[in-house]
Amino acid sequence: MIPARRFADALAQAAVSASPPERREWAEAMRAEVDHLPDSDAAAFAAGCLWTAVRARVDSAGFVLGAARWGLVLAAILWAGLHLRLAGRMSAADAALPEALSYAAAAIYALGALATALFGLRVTAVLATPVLGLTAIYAAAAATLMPQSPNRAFYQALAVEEVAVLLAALLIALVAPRWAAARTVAAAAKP
Amino acid sequence: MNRRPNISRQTRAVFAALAARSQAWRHGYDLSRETGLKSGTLYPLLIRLHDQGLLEAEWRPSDPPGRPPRHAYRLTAAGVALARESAAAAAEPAVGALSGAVA
Repeated sequence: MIPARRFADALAQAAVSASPPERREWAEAMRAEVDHLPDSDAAAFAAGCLWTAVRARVDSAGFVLGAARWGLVLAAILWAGLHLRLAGRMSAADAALPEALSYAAAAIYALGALATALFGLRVTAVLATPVLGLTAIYAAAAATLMPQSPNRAFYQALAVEEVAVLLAALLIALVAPRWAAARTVAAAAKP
Repeated sequence: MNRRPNISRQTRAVFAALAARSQAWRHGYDLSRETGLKSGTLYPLLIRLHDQGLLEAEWRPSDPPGRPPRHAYRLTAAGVALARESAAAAAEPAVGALSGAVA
């Protein structure tokens, strides 16, 4: 078998592997077509087939939901780790409250990551909403809670950052399923 | 008033190729050569037309026999109707421009 044909076959096989389950028959159809092509055209044709399969995979609702879910899990684990590191480095005498909250946040993010991994985005939204509310209240009250602290602006900034991160996570958890559904409908309706 | 279908140039090319021999089963490579579309453009289009019930697709024995079967395509009745409508819509501006030039 000549190298160009072997390369084309490998591309066509990759297209089958890359395609989402609902498009597997089409990927098999493309691979079968590559089998019937002259060697000179097979590689370019198979490359287009692979592109089609990858696009179908990325466009599939499952991929969008999976990317959102596992992206949030990864981000929550990283964020929990950052909170642990931050809490461990707080040494100012007035840092008892932010330090305790940082440890609590690390635990909440770790729990959120686990729950999202096990149960999906709906649970992320359910967990993030009350935490967001409480964090927003803390962010608004941080300066009042520590009136004597020279670092109160810093602690307040951390709380505001926390609100922004939680808001982003909540938006992703709420929007991703709707976006995936809308993409499916739009793709089916496109002339 | 009839609404003109908003159909892309690539879709029109595939419609034209399939409608030219609407009863014949066509293959992807064959359509790609006739329309000039690369497989990465052609197959998503075929998939979409199939999802919309405008295209039939089935595995057919290979010619010559002894080779693996091939996926083949032809328009459904709804596909033929839309292909005609699209061809008519595409011809309209040209006719309009021609009448304008003559007047």
